[in-house]
Amino acid sequence: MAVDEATLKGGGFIKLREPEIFAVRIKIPVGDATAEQLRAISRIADDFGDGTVHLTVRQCLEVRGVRAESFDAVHAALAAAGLGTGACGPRVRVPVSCPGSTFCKRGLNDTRALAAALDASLYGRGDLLPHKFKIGVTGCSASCAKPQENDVGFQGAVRPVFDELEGACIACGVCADACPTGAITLDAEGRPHIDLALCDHDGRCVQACPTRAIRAEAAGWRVFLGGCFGKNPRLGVLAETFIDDHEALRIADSAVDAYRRLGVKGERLRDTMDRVGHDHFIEEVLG
Amino acid sequence: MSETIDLRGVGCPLNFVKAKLALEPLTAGEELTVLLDDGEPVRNVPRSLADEGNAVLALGKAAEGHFELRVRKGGAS
Repeated sequence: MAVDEATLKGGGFIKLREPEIFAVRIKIPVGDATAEQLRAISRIADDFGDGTVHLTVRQCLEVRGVRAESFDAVHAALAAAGLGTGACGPRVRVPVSCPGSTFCKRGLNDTRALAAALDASLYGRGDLLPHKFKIGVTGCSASCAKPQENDVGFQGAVRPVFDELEGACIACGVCADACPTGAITLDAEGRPHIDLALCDHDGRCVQACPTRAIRAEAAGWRVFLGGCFGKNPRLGVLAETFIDDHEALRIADSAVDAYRRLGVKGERLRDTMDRVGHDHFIEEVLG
Repeated sequence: MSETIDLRGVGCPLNFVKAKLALEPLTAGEELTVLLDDGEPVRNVPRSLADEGNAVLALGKAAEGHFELRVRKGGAS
């Protein structure tokens, strides 16, 4: 056994309380595994672990009770099932995502596609960061994947406009009824006025309007930077709005780069942003 | 005098399916009145019928609290 501790940690082996015993963190991108992959994980738990599989809070699975000498064999068994280990330590972690527009009727955006693309472009590049770096992708303002709690968070959003370009208003009032934040008021003729200061961009008015008199003027991702829970929790700062997938990938990549350049070992992105100034950091990221 | 289908008490998405079935025997240009509950039904069914190519002519709240939707069947007449 010639595997040192850094290799173990970088390879998804997390030291547990008992000496020489590890938990293996298995990456489940966007939280979806095939039944066959789950069977393979079951076999790994039986053959190399203590026979249990743990669900992590960030959509990964962990097999506990694994010994360091099983490192190569576990990695081989995972690779054979099309799986790999999840990151630990000061690295970009596996992005977390909600079901998004694929499965959820409220989901505005394809969260799984963006999370998978972020995972492919940022995960496990091997370079160490000042601290851990988490990414969350959620399909609407309900924020089920908690984008504001992540170092970088993406939230599907639309900006509604009442302009009757695609259809005439019939004064049904369904838009005001559908709006959960009271951003839509109706005038004496029953026509809507949208107060964007109150709007949370969940798109329900756009989805409900039967004549398309309210439509999406802009749509895409809102970006939050520097969110962090754990000790001293704080929500991320809104840095950009209504960007497409391509720009989301660029911003995430740029945020990781800026964090590596400007961050000091041991500080989370939130602390780096506090130290260098939010506006300065956001400028560095957006370019 | 258009036909009426009462979908009060019918939840989503069954109310949409029933409204579609009620439109099916009509020819393009004919109208149907649909009674819908407030809440999810009125937020979903009118827009879904519009997305299927029908024209939403009127939608208003009745005194009893439900909504009355008047829709004209789309397609070549």
